[in-house]
Amino acid sequence: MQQVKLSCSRVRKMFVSASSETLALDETSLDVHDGEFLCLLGPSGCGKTTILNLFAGFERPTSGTLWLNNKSIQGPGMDRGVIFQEHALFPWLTVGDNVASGKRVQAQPAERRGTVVGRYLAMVGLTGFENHYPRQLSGGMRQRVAIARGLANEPEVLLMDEPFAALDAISRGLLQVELVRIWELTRKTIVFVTHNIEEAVLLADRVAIMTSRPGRVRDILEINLARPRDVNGVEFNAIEKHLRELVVDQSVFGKQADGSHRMTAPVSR
Amino acid sequence: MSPTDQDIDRECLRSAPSIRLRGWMSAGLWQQRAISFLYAMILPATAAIAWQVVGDLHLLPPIIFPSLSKIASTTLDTLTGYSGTSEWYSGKWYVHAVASLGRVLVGFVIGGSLGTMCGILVGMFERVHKILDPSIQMLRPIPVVAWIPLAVAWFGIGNPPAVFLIALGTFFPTYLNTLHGVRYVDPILVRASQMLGYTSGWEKFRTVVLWSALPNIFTGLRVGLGIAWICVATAEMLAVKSGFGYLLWDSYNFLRVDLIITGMISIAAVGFLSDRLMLLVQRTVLKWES
Repeated sequence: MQQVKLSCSRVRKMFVSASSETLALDETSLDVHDGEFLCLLGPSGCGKTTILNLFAGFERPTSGTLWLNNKSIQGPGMDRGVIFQEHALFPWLTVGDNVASGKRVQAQPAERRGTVVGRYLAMVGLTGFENHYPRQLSGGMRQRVAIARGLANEPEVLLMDEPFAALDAISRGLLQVELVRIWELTRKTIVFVTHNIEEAVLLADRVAIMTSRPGRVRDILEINLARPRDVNGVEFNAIEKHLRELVVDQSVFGKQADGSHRMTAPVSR
Repeated sequence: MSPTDQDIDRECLRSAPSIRLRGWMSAGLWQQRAISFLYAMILPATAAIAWQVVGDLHLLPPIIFPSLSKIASTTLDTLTGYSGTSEWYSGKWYVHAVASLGRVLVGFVIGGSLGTMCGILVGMFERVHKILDPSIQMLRPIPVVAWIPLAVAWFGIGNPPAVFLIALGTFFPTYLNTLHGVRYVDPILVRASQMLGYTSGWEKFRTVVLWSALPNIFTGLRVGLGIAWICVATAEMLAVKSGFGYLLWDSYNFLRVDLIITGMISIAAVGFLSDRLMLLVQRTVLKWES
């Protein structure tokens, strides 16, 4: 039995505005094991980013509790590194200074900081770009810097919110491969939000499939495929097909209270 | 059917002009700049020639419409004192330049730093916003010029009312732009700094807010500096006996239109240079933007 690193139990999150109340997450429970790569998979609006923001401490749950190492999460902290969908690099800092911007890195003496920057930039394949500004890099390169920045501050967990969704297919493919390599190197616990089924099968040890409105973890699928995984392999495609059925099932057919299925087709006039 | 030599020749001829045009376009940025400079000079050059002709032919009384060469020689005399035509301003250009510059500098530093500080505090703390912002917004519609009588009544004749007006004129644009910059910080950057370990309010300010607001602060300071020059000219006409504003008004009292225009040109030149200097500082500080 693996140790639980990150968990939430019966978490509800309600967004309240002047005109409406939206239940983004309903009674959601999830355990993330130490050192595992977990993907949260679901259609847009299913609350997968909300879970991530709750784990990160950016938002507080309406009810329920979240834990890191069996300690309840009260707010953001550097034990949880976050990679955002948009790189969220500080535009006023050079690439090197961005990577060194974490509090733990800043606490080290200057020459040590230089070594850290060099090591993590090498890890994401951006050696020699220390003195560029983020503005001067491509989207894929910026996201690499964001990953290097997140890792350099030595968090225990990496929370990634659709980090490759805004990239072109080629950059995305490259970064997926590199992320697996980096994960195998560092063995950080990773929670990775995606709506891309192939991406989930390629990356994850386990995939948590979410339903929408209200958001909830419906199924957890273990992916026992040796890495590196071949997206054209027979086994890969079988798992992808199975996962697709699970996801489409829950997003097209909303489950009724009586257990029957209801078609939610677009309304035609 | 393959193209004949004639076809090819004709094709080459047809495409030739566009090739020449492209060559001309890529000839260099400085050429394009020279051309736009020539365009920009059409109107001023025409006006200068017309002015000189009108002045030479005495079509208008020279006392209110001095010729261009007269203005040039008067300006030169204020700078060098070579002919004494500008009377007690002969060779005294620098004295008045320093007087105006000094007032602008002191007033700008006071108003600019107060505006920046208030903008940051009001932008960072909701309670300060509730207390301070309404009062500032109530004072803002009062034109700076309308403060002159009060400023003189309070501070007497001399530098204090002038510096007060300049500080006041600088304060509002700096305050407004800083406030805008502080309030509209990208929330994702705040989250990024939080997950990197900077969770306190001071750390949020130090790592994100200040840097994001810096371009807006500079915009405010530049606008403020422009207003500072408006204020110094106005204040010097009424409250002091030195500076370009005083030179302007004094020359009017003695009906020296050539000196008036010298004063106007001088204020424009020094104001323009101070704005360029500000821009240089801005580009140096905001080096990630260029």
